[in-house]
Amino acid sequence: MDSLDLKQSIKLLFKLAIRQLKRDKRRTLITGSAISLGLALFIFSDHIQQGSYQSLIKVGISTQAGHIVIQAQEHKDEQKIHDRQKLSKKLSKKPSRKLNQLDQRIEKVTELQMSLEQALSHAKISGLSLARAEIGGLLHSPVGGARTRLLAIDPQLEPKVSDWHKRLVPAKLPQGEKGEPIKSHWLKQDDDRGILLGQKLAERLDLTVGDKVVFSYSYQQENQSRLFRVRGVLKLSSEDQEASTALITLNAYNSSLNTQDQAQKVSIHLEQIDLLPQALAISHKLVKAHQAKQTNARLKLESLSWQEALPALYQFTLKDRQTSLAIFLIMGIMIAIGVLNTVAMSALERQRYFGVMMALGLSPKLMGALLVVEAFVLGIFASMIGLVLGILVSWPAVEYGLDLSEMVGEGMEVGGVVMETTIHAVWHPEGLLLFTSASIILSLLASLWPAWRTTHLSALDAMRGPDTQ
Amino acid sequence: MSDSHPQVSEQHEVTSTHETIVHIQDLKKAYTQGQSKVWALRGVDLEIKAGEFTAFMGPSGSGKTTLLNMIGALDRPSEGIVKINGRSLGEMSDTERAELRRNKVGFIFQSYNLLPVLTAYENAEFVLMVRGVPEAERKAKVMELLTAVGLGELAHRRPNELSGGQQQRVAIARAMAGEPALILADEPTANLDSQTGASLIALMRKLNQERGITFIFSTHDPQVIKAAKRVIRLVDGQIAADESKT
Repeated sequence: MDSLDLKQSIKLLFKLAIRQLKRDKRRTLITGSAISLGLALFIFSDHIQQGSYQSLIKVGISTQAGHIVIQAQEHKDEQKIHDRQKLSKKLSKKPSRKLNQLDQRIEKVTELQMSLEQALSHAKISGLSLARAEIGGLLHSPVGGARTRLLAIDPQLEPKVSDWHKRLVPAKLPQGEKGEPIKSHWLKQDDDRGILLGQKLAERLDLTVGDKVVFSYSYQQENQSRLFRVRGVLKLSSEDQEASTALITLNAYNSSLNTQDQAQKVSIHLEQIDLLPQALAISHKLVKAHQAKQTNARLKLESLSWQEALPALYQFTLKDRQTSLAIFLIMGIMIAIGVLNTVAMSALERQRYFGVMMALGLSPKLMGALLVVEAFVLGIFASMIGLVLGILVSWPAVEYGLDLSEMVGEGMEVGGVVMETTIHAVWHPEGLLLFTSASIILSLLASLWPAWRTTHLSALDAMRGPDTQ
Repeated sequence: MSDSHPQVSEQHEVTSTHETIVHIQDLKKAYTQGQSKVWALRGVDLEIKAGEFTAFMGPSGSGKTTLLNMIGALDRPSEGIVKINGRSLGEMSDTERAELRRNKVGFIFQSYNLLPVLTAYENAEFVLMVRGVPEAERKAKVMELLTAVGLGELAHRRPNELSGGQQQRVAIARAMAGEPALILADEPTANLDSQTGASLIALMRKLNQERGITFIFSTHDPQVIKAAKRVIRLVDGQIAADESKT
C-alpha cells in the first residue's frame, strides 16, 4: 500500500493546522495577540534602545572624543575612574608621578593633524582631524566665582563634528538691567580672549555678552589668571554641564600656557565607521613617529578607538544591551510558556480527535508533528503581524523622536556624556530579524512538549479522553 | 436530504471468499482498577471469514467493544493471539499497527467521530490522503462513496452542519474509502432513530454484499442483530453463543 511522502505529509499537516487555528478563533486570537504584541514591544524597545545608544555614542564621539583619539596615556587612566570623587580621593592619597592634566600636551599638533589626514586620504579613508584641550580652574566675575572646565576648541573645524555652535542662545542682561537679550556669537579662529559660557554659568556669574571675566588656574605650580571677554552663551544638555562648562579657542589655550600649536587630544572623525580598524592602524603608526618629536620625554602618546577612549560609555552600552537582551529573553520565555499552555490545553481538549486520527492510521509521529505545525503556523502568522505592528509603532519614534524629558529630567549622564532628552529611534534590521526569528522559534519550542506527549498517546486512551471540540 | 434512501450504484452481489480474515485464540484482556484486575475478556476463540456480516451482542460490560478494539489493533491483549489476514497483532510495533489500521481496517464509531475541522468530503478523503493516494483518484473515489451513501450534494458541509444520520453516513463512507478488508462498527446505530438506523443497516448490508467487505458490529440494536448473518453473544467476556443464519 502507498503511504504519505514528505511533501504530502507537510501538505496534510498544514491543511489540518490552518483549519484548526481558524476553527478555534478565540484561542488563536489570544495566543496570536500575545505573540504579536510581545514582538511589537520588543521591536519598539530595540529601536528606541539602538537610538539612545547611537545618540549617546554620537554625542560622546563628537564632543568628547572622535572615532579615534590620540592622547597621553595618563588621560585614559583618569577616564577609567569616571567618578570624580573617587578620582580626587585616589589622587589625594597617592601623590602621582604621572603627568598632570596640563602637562599632557601634544606638541606640533598641526603637523600631526596634517600627516594624519594625508595618510588617511592616501588609504582612501575620508576623515577629519580635530584638536582639543581642557583646563580646569575658577572663573571670576564681579559677583563671585565658579569652578569651571574650559574646553579649548578649533572654532573653524569644531562645527563640522559637534553641535556646540548650534547651542548658542541670546544672553540675558545682568540683573537690574532692562532690555532685549544680547545675541551670542561663535568664536573666531584667532580670538584668544573670547569665551562662550554655559547658560547657568553665565547666570550664576551674572555675565552677558561683552562682559569681562577672569579665569584662574594652576600651572607649573603657580597660580595664573587670564582675562576673557564673553562672546556668547550656550544652552547645553544638562544643568550640571551648563553650570561648569565654557569654550575658548585653542589659540587662547596656547596663549594661556605660553605655548604654540599644542593640544591635549587629536581626534579623527571618520565618515565611514566601518573603516575604523584601518584608520586606527594608520594612526598607531603615525603616533609612534610623532612620539619622537615630543620634547616632553615623560609624555607617552597612544592612539585609541572611541571604545577605548570612552570606556565608561562603551561598557554602559554593552552591559545595558546584555541586560536588555536578558530581560527580552525572560519576557520571551514567559510568552512561550503562555503559548505552551495554550498548545497543551488545545492538545488535551482534542485528545479524542487525535485518537480518531490514530485509529484511521495517522502515525503518532505525524500527530506530534501536527501540533508543531500548528504552533509554527501561528508563530509565523502572529510574528508577521507583530513585525508590522512593531515597525508601525516605531515609525513615529524614528521620525519625530520620543521626548523623555519628564522621565529623565535634564538628561541622564553616562561616562560623562549626557544623553539627549529626545531620543530618536533608529531602524535596526538585525534586531527585526533577531526578534522575529526568536518569536517563531520560541513558538515552535513551546509546542515540543505537548507534541511529544501526543506521540505517546494510545489511540484507544486518546479516544476515551476529553474532547470539548 | 433523506437518510432513508441511499443510492447504491452497483447492484451485483460479491461472493464471499471464505478466507479467514480474523483469527482469535484464547484471547484475554484485563484492566487494572486500583488494586484489582477486571477481566473484560476471559478466553475468546473465534474465526471470522472474509465477507461475513457479523454482530457481537451482549449486555454492557460483556466485552463487545473490547473485542472489537482488539481486532482493530487499537488495544493489546493481556494474553492470547489475534491475527488479521494471518498476521499476529501482538508481534507488531505501534507503527505497524497504525499501518494495519490505515490499510486493512475501517472504523465506524457510535458517536461518529468525524474530524470537526474537515468537510464531509475531506473526512471521507482523509484515509486516502494519509495513504498518499493521488488527488484525482481520491476525488473520484470519495465522490462515488458519498453518492453511494446518499450525501453527494452535502459533500462540502462540515460535521456540525449535518444530522446524526448524515454524519454516520460520512463515517461509513470514510470507513469504506480505503477499501479495507474489514470494517469494525461499534454500536453504529445507537445514537440514531430507528428509521435512520434501519436505512444505514441496509446501506452497510448492500456494501457488504456488493463489495465483499467484512463487517463486524458490536450492538444492542435488534435491527442490526436481525440483519446480521452471524450473531455472537458475549457474556462476561466469553462467547456464550455463536449463531449463523442461512
